[in-house]
Amino acid sequence: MRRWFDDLPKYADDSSWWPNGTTRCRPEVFLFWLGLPLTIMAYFGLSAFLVLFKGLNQTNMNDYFAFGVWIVVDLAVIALGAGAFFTSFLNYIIGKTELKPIVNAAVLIGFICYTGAILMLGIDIGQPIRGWFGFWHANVHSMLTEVMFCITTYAIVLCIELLPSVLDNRRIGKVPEFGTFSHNLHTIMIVFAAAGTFLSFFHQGSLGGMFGVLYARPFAYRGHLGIWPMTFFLFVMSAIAAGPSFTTMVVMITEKITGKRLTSHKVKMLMGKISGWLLLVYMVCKSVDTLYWAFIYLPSKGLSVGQMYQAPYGSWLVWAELGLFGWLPAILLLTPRVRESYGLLFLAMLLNCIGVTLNRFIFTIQSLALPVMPFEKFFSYLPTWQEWGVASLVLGHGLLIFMLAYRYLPIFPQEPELNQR
Amino acid sequence: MVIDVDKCTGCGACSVACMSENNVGVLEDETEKIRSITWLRVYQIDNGKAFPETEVAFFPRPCMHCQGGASGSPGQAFFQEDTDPQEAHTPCVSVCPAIATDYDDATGIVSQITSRCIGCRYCVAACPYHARYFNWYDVPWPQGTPRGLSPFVSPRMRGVVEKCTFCYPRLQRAKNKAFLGGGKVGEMDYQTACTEACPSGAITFGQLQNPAHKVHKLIQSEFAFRLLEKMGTNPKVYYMSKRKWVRMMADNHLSQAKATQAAASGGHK
Amino acid sequence: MDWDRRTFVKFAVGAVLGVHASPLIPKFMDDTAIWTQNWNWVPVPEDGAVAYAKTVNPHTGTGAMAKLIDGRVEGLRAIRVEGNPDHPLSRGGVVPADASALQLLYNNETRVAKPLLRNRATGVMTQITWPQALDLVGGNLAELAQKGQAHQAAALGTDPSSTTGQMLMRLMQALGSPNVAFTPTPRETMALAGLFMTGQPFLGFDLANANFIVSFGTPLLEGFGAPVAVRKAFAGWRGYPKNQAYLVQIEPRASVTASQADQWIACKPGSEGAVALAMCRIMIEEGVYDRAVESAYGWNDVDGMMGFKSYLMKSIDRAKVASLAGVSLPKLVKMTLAFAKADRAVAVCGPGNSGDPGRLYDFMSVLALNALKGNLGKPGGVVAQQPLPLKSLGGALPEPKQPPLAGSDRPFSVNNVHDLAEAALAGKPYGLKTLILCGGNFVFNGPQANLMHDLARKTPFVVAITPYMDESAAMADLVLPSTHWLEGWGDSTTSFGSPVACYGLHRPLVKAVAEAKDAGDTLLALAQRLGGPAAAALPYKNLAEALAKRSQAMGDFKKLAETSYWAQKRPAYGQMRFNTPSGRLELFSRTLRQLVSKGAGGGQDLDKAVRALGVKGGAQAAFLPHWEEPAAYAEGAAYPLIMQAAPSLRTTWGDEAITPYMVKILPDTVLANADKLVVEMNPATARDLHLYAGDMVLVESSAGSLTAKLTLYAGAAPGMVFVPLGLGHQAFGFQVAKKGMNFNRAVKVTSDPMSGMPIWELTGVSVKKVRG
Ligand SMILES: Nc1nc2c(c(=O)[nH]1)N[C@H]1C(S)=C(S)[C@@H](COP(=O)(O)OP(=O)(O)OC[C@H]3O[C@@H](n4cnc5c(=O)[nH]c(N)nc54)[C@H](O)[C@@H]3O)O[C@H]1N2
Ligand code: SF4
Ligand code: SF4
Ligand code: SF4
Ligand code: SF4
Ligand code: SF4
Repeated sequence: MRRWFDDLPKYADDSSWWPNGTTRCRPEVFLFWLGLPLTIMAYFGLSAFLVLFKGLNQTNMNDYFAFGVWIVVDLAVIALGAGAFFTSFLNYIIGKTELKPIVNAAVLIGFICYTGAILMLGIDIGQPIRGWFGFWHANVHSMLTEVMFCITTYAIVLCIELLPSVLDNRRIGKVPEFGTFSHNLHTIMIVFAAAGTFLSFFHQGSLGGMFGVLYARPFAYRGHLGIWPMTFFLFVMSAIAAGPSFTTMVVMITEKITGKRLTSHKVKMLMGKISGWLLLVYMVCKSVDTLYWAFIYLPSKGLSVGQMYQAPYGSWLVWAELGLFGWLPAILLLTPRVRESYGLLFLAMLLNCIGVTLNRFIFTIQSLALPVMPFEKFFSYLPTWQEWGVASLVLGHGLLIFMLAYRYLPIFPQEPELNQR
Repeated sequence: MVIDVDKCTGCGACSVACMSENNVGVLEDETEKIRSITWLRVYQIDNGKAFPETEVAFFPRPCMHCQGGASGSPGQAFFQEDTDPQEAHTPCVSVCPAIATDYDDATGIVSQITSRCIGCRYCVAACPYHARYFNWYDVPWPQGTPRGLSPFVSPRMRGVVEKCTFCYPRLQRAKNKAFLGGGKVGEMDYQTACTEACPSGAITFGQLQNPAHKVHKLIQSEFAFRLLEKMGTNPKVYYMSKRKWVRMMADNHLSQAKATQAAASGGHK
Repeated sequence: MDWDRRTFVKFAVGAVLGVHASPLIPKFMDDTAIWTQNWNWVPVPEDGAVAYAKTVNPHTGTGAMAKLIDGRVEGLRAIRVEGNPDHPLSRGGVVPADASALQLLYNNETRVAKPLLRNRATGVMTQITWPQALDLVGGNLAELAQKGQAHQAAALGTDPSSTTGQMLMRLMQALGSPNVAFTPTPRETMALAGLFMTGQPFLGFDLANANFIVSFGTPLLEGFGAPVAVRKAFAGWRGYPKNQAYLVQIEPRASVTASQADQWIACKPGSEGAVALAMCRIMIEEGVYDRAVESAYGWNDVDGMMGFKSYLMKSIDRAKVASLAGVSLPKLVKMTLAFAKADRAVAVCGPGNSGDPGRLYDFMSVLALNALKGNLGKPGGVVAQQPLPLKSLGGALPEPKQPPLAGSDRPFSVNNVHDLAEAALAGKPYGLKTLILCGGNFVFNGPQANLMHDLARKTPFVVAITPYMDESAAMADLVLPSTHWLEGWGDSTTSFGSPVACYGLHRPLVKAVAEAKDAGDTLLALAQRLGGPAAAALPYKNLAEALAKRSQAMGDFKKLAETSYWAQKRPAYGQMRFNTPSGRLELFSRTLRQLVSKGAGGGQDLDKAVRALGVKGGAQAAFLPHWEEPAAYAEGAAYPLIMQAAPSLRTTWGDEAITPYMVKILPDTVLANADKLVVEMNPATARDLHLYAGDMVLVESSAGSLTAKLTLYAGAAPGMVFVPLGLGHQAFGFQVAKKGMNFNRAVKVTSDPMSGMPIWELTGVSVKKVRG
């Protein structure tokens, strides 16, 4: 059967750019689907313009909710993007080469998450042109300084880690200089993996530390181990528990959309198992931390747990975060039968990712909603459409980059082999 | 600074004097209190009793110029203290990534350098007193009004955080004057705009640690207390009241014992 | 040279090194840093030499200091108004209106820069020159005078004791018009009460030296007399571990004063005077009063008429009053005994919360209570102010032939703007052709703003002499720009309740805006333009010269202007001199009786005459301090609630408008949700009316209405609704206009029996939920 577009002239036959041994959809179809991320980007563009031009009054943030949905999304995507550093770490440094088939995807997702986060942070600050003051007049005591340094440096590392994939493109790789360069990069990738691990460990931690150090905010404050508050470690743990899940989830979604098998199920199961164990460790620590906070720290300040949960941010949040999206996925992921099932594995990973997002939400929004001053009111907050617009950046540019990368770059080394007819 | 809650009538002269001293702007809609900039906000509280037992009191709240890190500090118990005892650990200062706010060891003043602030609002999140204000809007200056602005404090641009500085430029001027006159900055040479303005004399300002200054004596009083004492912010603004309900309300962390003890020795209600 | 790879790499490396070695990067960073601080819409105030100049804010009576900067480009300008620590009454303190005065001074959107002529049909204002403007007013007045209609021109002012007020009176009188009226204030009520009972019109309360103070519904801390001076006294009352003085507040609302008082006696609205009388009776019954009062005229019955003691015994039963006022009798008795026992106790009357001039009989009752306490002329008691040593602006002028519009039906005429407006609108006995509004914003401040609005609308020719494009100016046919008090000359006299006389003089400290003139200078120019008797009545070159003449007795004028005030050194302690017909304290006022009999035509039917004036108690009570039920109670079932204002120094003090900074510090119990007025009600009352916090309600009286958001406040007396005062401007720029609604538009003004002063302390209203 002929389709209407079969008669169109073939201006853009890009098949020579596709990764070796793979097939991709027709350029017209691809272009059509590109419309989705581009639409989201346009929504982002309008929102960002309004915010930059008219100021942060375009948001619903205020002096009580100094941070809003952007910080929540930032924290969440950085946690979810942790698959990049942790998979690289396991692959390159620990030598778990079974993960090699998914490392490129992890790095790509990390790249998307981090660039998205940095762009959003640039819009979030009131004086974007002064963004660099944080480097120039750095305050070494500030967790945010650490975050700024590490995230930016790590984004550069991610670029370098991603570079081999770009250079391995069928056409680009043919340029001799690039080919050699790419080869050399592969050999020294362990150095960047190590740098990435180090940086990530610190900024994942510092993001948690940002809240844990707020000692005048009893909801967020946590005791310290060395110079770091407990949230430092908890954030690292939850990020490395959720990161691999998120990477795998994205791969699974891509498989469903493209109808191709991209990595073997063994790899996914391994990722699930890693996630599961890490999540278990995290949940143990988090639960201990919560109990200590609720029954020792808060009473020492004349406060009670009850005061910490007020509608709409009620105690249901604890059960959701720790139970439904915490212990449950941990147990699921550690159950071999669950891992073997494609669907259940996906579900468990989804719960895990929601859990970490919820955690970031609670630390950002609920910490601020809770009045500390005895005669202050309790406030709640809802973002404006402009805020959602800016927040949708990660989705828009993520889709765009991922679509392009999937089409042209050899992200999935197992793909040709798994899809042989 | 010591603020006598029993003398404060909530008139707001201090707040207005502060705004005129520090070139604070006025937006078209100032009822949006969660975005309205008032360095010195006068809170009204009441005792929650029904008519005719109702009673109100006022809490003028400038920046507390927290030192942090002293007694009642966090983390005493199980975990280690996170600060160097030599170093102030002001909630808002330690978090600022750009050193746009700083704790001055010599004076104990927490400065705010608006020209360096990047507007990340981390400090706003860190301050439990809501003493920090972000410029959500461009301030409109109706034609002619800039004539009344003081050249000693720069009007702020959109996107930065501002707060009470204990009228820092007044200290600078007092220092200059003392330097030229060869003397020292005396208690009355450096007084804040709010202190001067208060028609009820509810605000007293001076060096807490200088025995010659009035505030030094006032804070020894059993009626003196601070807001959120137990949080460990170690504020430099004290309050006084003979009324027990006022003291209780000032600090949900204050022990009943302390409030009662003061009440027993002469306080009423 | 070939562009091979090595050349390229070398070039790139060279460029990178070059850029780093150059100052480009630091320069660029420095520039961005600077650039982010220099948005052109963020003003950069000009620096210059600093100087301070003393002055007095005539609206608040505060001794102030203007901080001035002399800039090279901008010239001399004021950058702050601070308190003057040397001023004997305000001693360095300020109220918000003082501290934010510059916001009214420097705002091109609200100041009038040049004379403006308004087209009534289109409302369009056009600029005209001063000579044209003076010709217009002068021509209009001259024509009226020529036609024998001078009385149909009226002038309204705010303060009759100021020099500008005096000029206004002389100008109108010389023209032949009896119609000059002023804003009613408690100063007049106090003068009458003082005159009737002691023969002294200028009485004050020695608050600073008292150690027991009972205030009868007077907002001592929300605004009373010179507000800063009162607070200075209040500060002295407080102390640790013990207070220095005991303050009792008697009023229906847990106001600031009630809360800061040592004891709040919550009473029914309008019953304060009855409570004062009950205290008198308790003191007599308990035998704890100063026996000297027994020698007062009218202590016992006189000329077959009831004396004060008989009145108390007959009509003031302590239990009945306690239940009528809703106060606990044991508490009242205990407090009265403490008052009687205290060595320096004083009872204070004054303006009510709504800012009206006060009820004459309540003032007299409070004076009687002070007399029973025996504190007249004593430290911490009621003292007579020394009259200000001010000279008259000229000799007596002939009385206009026509009767005045206001107060002609009263035995003693107190000309006030409300009576004038009422009579003129009713055409009784005649209407107005020309109206001069000199200084005050009557269309906003009222009282009963709707009435003043009608007067301005219906009078054919209205002239406003004002610094601001306010609500009154917006209705005027001709607007004449006058100076702000920091720009021009002017004076103010002793504030209500002050124990010592105090005169304030303000002078030009900064250059006046465009063509603004001192109001006094405008009047002088007008007199010149009119010539004849008007010019002769005001033979001064300018206001400064008139001020110099008037204040001659206070010493060198230049020095006086620089000091900015003159004050009586200390209160006049010692035996109070009674300038009454009996030469004694009069609890039964002979002066009052004589005045009424004269008005009634020889004392034929005194009782009838008295009742005609509105005194329900008839002749037996009319000349005694006594209590009558407020008129607001008689409004009937359609208006079952009582409305009273909740005054605050954050919303207004004096007749100046609220400033942007004052708007900014209003809590959301006053103004909320994008500028909605908030009114307050007791939760129980709201429950009865099926109203909830946050509802939009219509508060309606028989004279007007306002809509507002409802807030519930446990400290509000049941059956009442409390409305913030001073909001609801339509003028003064986007930072002030359209914020809330004007209390004065819902107010129903009634006349005080006997004095005829307008009273609006309480208004009967209904409150209904509306959509919004
Ligand atoms: N004993 C001794 N004395 C000295 C010197 C010495 O070497 N020894 N050095 C001299 C020299 S060279 C100098 S420059 C002076 C320095 O003396 P100062 O000028 O007193 O400098 P700092 O002590 O750094 O205090 C500056 C204050 O300003 C605040 N600040 C910083 N930026 C801003 C701003 O933008 N706005 C406002 N409002 N405040 C801001 C800071 O928080 C800090 O509190 O000291 C002199 N005095
Ligand atoms: S010395 Fe201080 S101000 Fe100068 S660059 Fe270093 S940190 Fe910044
Ligand atoms: S000026 Fe004084 S009395 Fe008025 S609100 Fe401020 S502290 Fe209270
Ligand atoms: S009150 Fe707030 S802004 Fe002021 S020093 Fe303390 S934490 Fe910082
Ligand atoms: S908002 Fe400004 S002052 Fe506050 S932490 Fe950020 S950079 Fe520092
Ligand atoms: S000390 Fe100065 S800056 Fe701080 S509140 Fe008072 S007037 Fe304002």
